[in-house]
Amino acid sequence: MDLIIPCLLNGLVSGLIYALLAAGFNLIFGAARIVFFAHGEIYMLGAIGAYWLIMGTGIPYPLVLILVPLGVGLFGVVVERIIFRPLRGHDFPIFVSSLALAMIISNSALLTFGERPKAIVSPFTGKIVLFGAVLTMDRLILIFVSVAVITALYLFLHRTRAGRAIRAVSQDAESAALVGISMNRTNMQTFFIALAICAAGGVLIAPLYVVDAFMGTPVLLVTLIVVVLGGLGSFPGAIIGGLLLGLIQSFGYTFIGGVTSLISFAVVIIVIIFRPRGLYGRA
Amino acid sequence: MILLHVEGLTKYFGGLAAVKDLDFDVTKGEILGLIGPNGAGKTTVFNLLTGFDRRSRGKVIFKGHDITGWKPSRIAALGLARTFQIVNVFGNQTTYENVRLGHYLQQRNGGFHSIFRTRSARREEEELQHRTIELLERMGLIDVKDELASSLPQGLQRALGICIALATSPDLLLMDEPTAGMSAEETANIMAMIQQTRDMGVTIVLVEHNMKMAMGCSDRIVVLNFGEKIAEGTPEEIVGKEEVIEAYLGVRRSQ
Amino acid sequence: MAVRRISSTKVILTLLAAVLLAMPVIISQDPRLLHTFVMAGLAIILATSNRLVYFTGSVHFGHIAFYAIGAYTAVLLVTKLGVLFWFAFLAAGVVAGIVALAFAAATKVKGFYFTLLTLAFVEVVRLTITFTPALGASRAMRCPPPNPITIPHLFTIEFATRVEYYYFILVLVAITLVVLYLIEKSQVGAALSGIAQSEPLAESIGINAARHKVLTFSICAVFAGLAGAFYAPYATVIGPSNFTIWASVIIWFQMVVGGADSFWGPVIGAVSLVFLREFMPGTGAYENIYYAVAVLATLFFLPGGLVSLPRVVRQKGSKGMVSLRLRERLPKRVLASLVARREKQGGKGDTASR
Repeated sequence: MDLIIPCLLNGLVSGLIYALLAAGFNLIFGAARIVFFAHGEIYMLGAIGAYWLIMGTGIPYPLVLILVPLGVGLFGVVVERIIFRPLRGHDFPIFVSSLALAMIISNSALLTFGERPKAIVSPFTGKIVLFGAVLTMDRLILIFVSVAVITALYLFLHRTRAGRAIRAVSQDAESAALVGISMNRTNMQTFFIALAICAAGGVLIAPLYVVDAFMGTPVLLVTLIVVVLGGLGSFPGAIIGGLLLGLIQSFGYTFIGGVTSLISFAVVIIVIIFRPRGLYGRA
Repeated sequence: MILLHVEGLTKYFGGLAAVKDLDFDVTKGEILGLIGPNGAGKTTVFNLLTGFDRRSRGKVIFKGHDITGWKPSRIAALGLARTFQIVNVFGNQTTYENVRLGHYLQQRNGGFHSIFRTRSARREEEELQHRTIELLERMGLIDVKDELASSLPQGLQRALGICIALATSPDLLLMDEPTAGMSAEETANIMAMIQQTRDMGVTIVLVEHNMKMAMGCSDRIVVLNFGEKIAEGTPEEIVGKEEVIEAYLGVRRSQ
Repeated sequence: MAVRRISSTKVILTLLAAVLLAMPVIISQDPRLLHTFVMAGLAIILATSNRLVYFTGSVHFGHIAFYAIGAYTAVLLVTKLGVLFWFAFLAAGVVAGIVALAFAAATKVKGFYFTLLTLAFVEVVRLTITFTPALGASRAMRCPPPNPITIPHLFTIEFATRVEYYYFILVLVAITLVVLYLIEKSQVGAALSGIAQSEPLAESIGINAARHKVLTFSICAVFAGLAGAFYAPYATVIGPSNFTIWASVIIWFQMVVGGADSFWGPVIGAVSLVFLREFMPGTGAYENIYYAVAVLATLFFLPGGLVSLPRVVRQKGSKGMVSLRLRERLPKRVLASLVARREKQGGKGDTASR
């Protein structure tokens, strides 16, 4: 049973990433009522961006961890402004646009980055041993940073004015508008934050595994699973759902094998049929 | 003869009873008004009767059939039609097409025949086209028959909604606040239409918030408050009843 | 002598049919062009059948799953059970239809959750293929060509070159378009449109919305299954990588570019995008980018799709009377009556679109 600890650790690591991604996705869905299907590609952008900066320039990792999400966040603001704002109110074109955007991003990445996965030489050495399992430095950093980001996001949403504005819009956009909350501004902020977090996930995961242009789609699908399990639009749902799925997948892949992915989707179908709102979603 | 028999109808939303132990009957050929202040549960009753909501308790017997748990389409097929307070028409289609679609139930050769334009389907189509035109003429909608339904003014849309329901050849028509938000002139038009409908042999149950209209149209009235029946009788009997006045004004007149 | 007036549509259609029938000769059997036509034909079938589901009000992203089910059913029946291809072909359609029936009947969810469900379904099908050794796992499955059709004493059609496949798909496309067109323009189609506009209202006039939606979903899946069963021998090998979610997304792109609100929209969209893909420079990733850019351009500049182009160009005159979005949605006769009414009312200004 010395598989359990590594399983738990792996599960924690991927779970935290899923939580980040799902939180971002739910933020956009909650506040802007947009199903942002390009989410996976943003994650991939973060990873590829990290690769380029680390391998191409000498920029130290901590700086990369700030720059890449920032850049991607700004990209998100631009995207919101030129694609989603003009289409506001028309749900179907918005949905199709996010699909088109995803396709453009992923294929552009494919063209520039190439087909073969590449590995980042991890900027960290050193590890600690915890309960008989080895925790490398990059994993440790991933865990700390993701927890920090999640906490920061929570504080932002509950303690700051802008965050509360976003939550207000999520609950009732009309009333929020009546109180003077500008949807333009909240959407801009939402996109910035959500995409930055998503890209951060990509940056964090990059030193651990390989980076390739195809890593977006499986991640998008996982995000959808988490969001359904945890509840569309819900922040705690995203976190708990993400962690849960990370653990389930980790144990699943170790003990059952690749079929786990199939089982995950079958479970999603069952959840949608019997309890579409998941754990924390609205009815 | 009793067309509709409602017995002990109850609906709970969570812990709150929207409708409680409602009993009433509808006699063939009459116009029954269902009135009550806002929130009295009138629309809930409609949804329960027409299959759009599930009852918590009680029975609804229509034309001798217990229509508990039936889907709306099945209830409609039996002869119970309804109009809606909002979204009464198929906006993307013309007035004519709306009413033609209302004749859906009268099409014996649907499905396969309709798709492949078999001879029987084509004959039936001609007949149904005639019926549609007739109905449009009778309801005064013939002039706008090629207009897109969503472009009609509200008064005509409501009339169209009634027309669509009538196209199903119902025995009983439930009308949900047909004059909501209308001017006096439009209201008078609808009232005339209701009388015309009764003349066509259709029994009507009318939910109305507009007291004057309900009193003017109905043969009998049932008054609801907080989901319960508080009075029943002819308009003259109802008007004087204290419970009714209290329900609307919320004030005790004595003392 | 009486002169019979022939409708111009019939003339155009007859000409089109003649051209299509003679196409292989016209293009001197150029394999690349034939291939493009075949792929366009498949795209037309998928896009138009997917669109009928959209017509009933459901956004369905799982069409490629039925394409896959059709393809694999055909392959399995032919290779593992030695069934004659033509029976396998029909069986593939039936199987796809039955699976669709079960799937649609089991789920009562609507709207976005339904869309998610269909996406999950695609993945489930794809992953099932990937993890089932009998289905070739993640490697490709080989499929032999269809059995030759022999009409005794006349001729035998062997499926040796692309020309035979071309005619095969031509027939399939013709059947698909005829059936789907008839459905849409019949009273059944009117009922479906009613369901999409207001399910409660449709129910109240006796239309069993659930049953209509399930049946429509199933019929459309049959066409997708048949298309898949065609694809298997044509491509000679199939693998799970053909049947991803993005393949379903491509179908929607074709629908949107052509015009999702019109019957001919998906046809035009499918043909345009397939030809665009073949003849623009670059392959693979570039193709996808063209698609995506075309879709974005359509959404922003021509929301009604390519099929609305002639109407939009013509309507530039009456701009002041009706708002842009409404204008692009309405068919001509209705728009004309609307404009006339507005003019009568003295130009009351724009209506907010729906």
